[in-house]
Amino acid sequence: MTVIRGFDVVVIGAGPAGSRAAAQIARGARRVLLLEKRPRVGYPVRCAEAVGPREDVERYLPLDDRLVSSPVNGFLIVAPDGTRFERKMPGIGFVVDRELFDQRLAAAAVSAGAELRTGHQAVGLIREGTQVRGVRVKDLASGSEYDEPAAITVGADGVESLSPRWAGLKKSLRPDELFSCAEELIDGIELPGEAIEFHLGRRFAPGGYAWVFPKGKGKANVGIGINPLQAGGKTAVEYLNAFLAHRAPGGKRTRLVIGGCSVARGLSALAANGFVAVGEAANQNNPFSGGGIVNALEGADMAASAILHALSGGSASAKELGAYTREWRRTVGKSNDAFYHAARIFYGLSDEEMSRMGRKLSRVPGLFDEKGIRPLLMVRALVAARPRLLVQFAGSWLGGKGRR
Amino acid sequence: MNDRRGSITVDRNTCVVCGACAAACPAEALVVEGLSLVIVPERCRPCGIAALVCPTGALACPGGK
Ligand SMILES: Cc1cc2nc3c(=O)[nH]c(=O)nc-3n(C[C@H](O)[C@H](O)[C@H](O)COP(=O)(O)OP(=O)(O)OC[C@H]3O[C@@H](n4cnc5c(N)ncnc54)[C@H](O)[C@@H]3O)c2cc1C
Ligand code: SF4
Repeated sequence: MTVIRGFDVVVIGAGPAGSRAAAQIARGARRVLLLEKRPRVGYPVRCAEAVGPREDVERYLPLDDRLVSSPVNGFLIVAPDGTRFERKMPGIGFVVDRELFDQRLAAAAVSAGAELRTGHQAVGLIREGTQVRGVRVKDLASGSEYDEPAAITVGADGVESLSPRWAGLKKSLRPDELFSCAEELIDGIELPGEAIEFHLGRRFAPGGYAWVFPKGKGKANVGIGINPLQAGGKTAVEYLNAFLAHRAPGGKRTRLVIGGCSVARGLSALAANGFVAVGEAANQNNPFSGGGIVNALEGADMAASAILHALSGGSASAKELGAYTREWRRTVGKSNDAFYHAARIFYGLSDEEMSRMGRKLSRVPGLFDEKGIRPLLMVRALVAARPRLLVQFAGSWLGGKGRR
Repeated sequence: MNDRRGSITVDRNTCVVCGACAAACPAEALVVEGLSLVIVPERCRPCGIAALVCPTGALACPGGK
């Protein structure tokens, strides 16, 4: 088979992280190959499809009616004892069509000049000593393998994230570093307006949470994510069935979504010699909520600018590419660290402790303004450290970055 | 229909090829190739982690802890 040579950068995975990184690098006039093992970008969907406010998303992709399934204008948290903690927050986010979202991002990479190859899977890295020199690729249609050399390889292969493991940046995820998830797109469910809804407690989601995210027209993504170590031998699908019986009895199941979602601690290094990891592959999801779409896009931009800089300077060393690690750790990585520690405490709480926290917070007047949490008021109101975690829980899904 | 490879077995009717097991398997004994789950039996230790994290209960790992 013909081997096409001469890419500056090979990107593994056409999710949000990979497509955005490919687009930005191609815009910097570099030759980029974007590899995607699935035949169709974005399909099947493995996501609850919630993203933050318009200004956060539109930095990367303009939103239109086809992309937006429903706006999110507030949230509702139901504590284990049934206490409801509710806030209206217009403009706080959106539930999107994730398949189309990913396809638009990939299309943007292609229009910027990147070459997209679907059905082509990275099966290993090419190395010279410690330097990564490109990717070993398998063409899944023919079964043949070939080398694709490149100065820099981007590992954006999502939760499975084998490429950062090959590059020595991370290990496999521990069972408590991922939410084991199951979700149905339900048609015919009663919804309290355009709020995203979370249910806490061991009954529905031990070590995680259950969610209801509105999809418009009486539909919603209804799902659960659990810590497998706390699940008492039951599967995510079993917990989902119990939650559906409670929250959406009679609703029609129209799309089953199954997946693992990383809630792992951030990596200490995101770059190796000739290699960077980005998105969920780089543990960039919010470790409290598991949310990772916008984080992946942010990580991609930081990675791309370090890559362009490294290429123009002629060095693809871990040291040179380490500018990306530093930028990430200074910004989103920093808040993710806080969320990681908060999550360790929060998801270890008993049902009673969680409920107590909910009751306390639901009595705090004016805790939120139109921009989100009012931190000073929160600190004053919640002298005890733990109740703050419930607010962080909502904040980890919603709200501007500045409030994190 | 069960594929028995090494210690780990997957029920192909239940597996939806989500890749959660591949993320957690320390030995790369489970890999998603395109849209199918491939098991590399000689790599399985077995440790039981993949079966634990699987959202559907498709994996059985009798030798796992
Ligand atoms: C049930 C569930 C619900 C979620 N809900 C939300 C939510 O509401 N909001 C939110 O922000 N986040 C959510 N997340 C997390 C979010 O989906 C991820 O953080 C996000 O997809 C990360 O983007 P990514 O580009 O890093 O990886 P991905 O989107 O996973 O993209 C990785 C791509 O790489 C491809 N790939 C993998 N290996 C290879 C290989 N070897 N060669 C070639 N291609 C490869 C994959 O096929 C895939 O297309 C959820 C996750 C789950 C499981
Ligand atoms: S975690 Fe379970 S459902 Fe997902 S790919 Fe592995 S065996 Fe299949």
